[in-house]
Amino acid sequence: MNLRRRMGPGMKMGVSTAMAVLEAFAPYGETDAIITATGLGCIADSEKFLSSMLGLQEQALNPTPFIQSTFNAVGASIALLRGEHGYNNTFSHRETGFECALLDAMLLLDAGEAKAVLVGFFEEATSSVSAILDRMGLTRGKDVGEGAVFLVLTRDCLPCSQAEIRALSFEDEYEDEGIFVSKEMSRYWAGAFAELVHDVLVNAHEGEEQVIVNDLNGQCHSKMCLRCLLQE
Amino acid sequence: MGIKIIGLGVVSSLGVDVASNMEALKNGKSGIGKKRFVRTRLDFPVGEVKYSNADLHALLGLETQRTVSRTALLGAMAVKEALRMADVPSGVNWGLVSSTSVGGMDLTEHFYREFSLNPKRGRLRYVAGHDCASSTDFIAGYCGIEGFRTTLSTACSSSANAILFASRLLERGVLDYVVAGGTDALCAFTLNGFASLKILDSEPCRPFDRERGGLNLGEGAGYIAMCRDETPGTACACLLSGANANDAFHQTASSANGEGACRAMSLALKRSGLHPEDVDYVNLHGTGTPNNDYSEQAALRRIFGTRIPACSSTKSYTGHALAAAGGMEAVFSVLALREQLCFANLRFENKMDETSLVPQRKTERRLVRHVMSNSFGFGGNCTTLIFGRL
Repeated sequence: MNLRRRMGPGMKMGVSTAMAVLEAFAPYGETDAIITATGLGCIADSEKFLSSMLGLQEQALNPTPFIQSTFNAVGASIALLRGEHGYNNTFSHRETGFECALLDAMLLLDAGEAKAVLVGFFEEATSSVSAILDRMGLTRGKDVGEGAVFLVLTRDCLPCSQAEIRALSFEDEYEDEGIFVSKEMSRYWAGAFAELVHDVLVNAHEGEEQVIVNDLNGQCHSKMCLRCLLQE
Repeated sequence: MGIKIIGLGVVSSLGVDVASNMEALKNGKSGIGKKRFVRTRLDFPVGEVKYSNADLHALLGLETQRTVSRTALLGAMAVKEALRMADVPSGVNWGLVSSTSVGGMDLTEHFYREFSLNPKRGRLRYVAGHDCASSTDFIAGYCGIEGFRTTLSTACSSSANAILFASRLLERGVLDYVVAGGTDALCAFTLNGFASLKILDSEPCRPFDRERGGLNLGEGAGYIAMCRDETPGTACACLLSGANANDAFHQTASSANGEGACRAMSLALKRSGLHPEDVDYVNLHGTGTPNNDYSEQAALRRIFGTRIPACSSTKSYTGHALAAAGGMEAVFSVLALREQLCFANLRFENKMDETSLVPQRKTERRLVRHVMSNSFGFGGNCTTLIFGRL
């Protein structure tokens, strides 16, 4: 369909990852809320629109990149493709946006406003973003990361549940233990925390508790404790 | 819900504080007109804040050399005002939940002119504030909000969602005080975006009128400070409930039967424990586009039947300030309760052919017990907030 054909890289990564997660979750239930997070959103579309605006002297522009430059474009596209009328929200708060999305989902579940929430992060890399971050001295020659991580949070423990979130906090102080988001990565890829959560889940051993700390610039921005469960 | 509102801050084309906005709303004085500051070749009417960036720097007491996006400047003005009224005690567990749809795009546009010709050029300080979180961090730093902060971005429903999320943070005890809302500055990017969608009116907008030709973009910021009912402090109104639903119909257009809007309004009503007849005024999303206004009136009819309460789109005064709209209109909703006023829907003349909906023609004193405020956005994001008296 048209929507899929027009998608930029961030949209494709985000929407396809979300769809795969929803498909895997389908035997266990239906999600009733969608919450996404992103650092720069579909930045390639923003740049495309900006570039044509300057090139065409603000005349006769194609609106598609403008539409897709909105930060909620991925969350909205998932809702549209799935016909999901439920709660739909998007955070864009650099390196802690994903934790805020998790918090929003936990509060919704806690309040009984949702039973299963799709939570995800997406970010796309472009040569312009790399060039700018490089000039700012943030990349030190490394590539700017891109990718998407989606998961489903439920209130009840299901046969497919991989881990339990024991705690999520946004504090200035933390115990010096756990798994840390590397400062360099998280500085320019807002998804470092999401990626780490994914890695912990993939490599988890039953009963193991893991503390994941987002400690940008030596300050604790957020901390999450996961207890891994027996997997099917 | 048990949330009380203890502070209000608003910046719009009507003025840079609550008092000047109130005055204009009372007197039916629109802020829409010719652009003065935004740099663009387009010549559509806009709801531009009547102060240059240099003026805003001076009002905020900032050094003139400091590079700050207009989005962050407008936001800081409104949050500062909300906090002056709220008088949050020091040392409490508080935070800022902000929102924006363009972030620092007003500066990025200038950066990109040079950068696009040569990636080694363009001043980095013009692009450093591009991302959404940057304006939030500036506002929090300027206003001394040291605790939790985050930024939402759900297009034109952003600040309504920020207020909804913030209220949940209070309810579940994550925070004890919170300032929530949104900010957006006019820029060539969004003006061209809406022009490319062919939904800008070349005249001042006429929401819900048969001849309506589209929306006018505006800019500004709107924030409310909130705490739980039991927290000590003087309040001016309360937030009764809110709900977020998705239209799941089209990337930018709303469904003809207003499915998402209807779900948001009906869920918010259910959560507030109110009946439709308890709502005395609806601050409509009412952008002035043929599609939105048709869809919204269809949703209103599904909720209220033939007895639609007094309603108006204050975007006929301010233009559509995108992410800031929900926050500005939350402030206007509280003012409607405080002053017992229903605001005018300016420039309305003729009913649409499809409906008998006639919005409030003049700002009028009425009994206002509860106000419903609608904010809908691209991507089908629909959010409704319901405010009440204390």
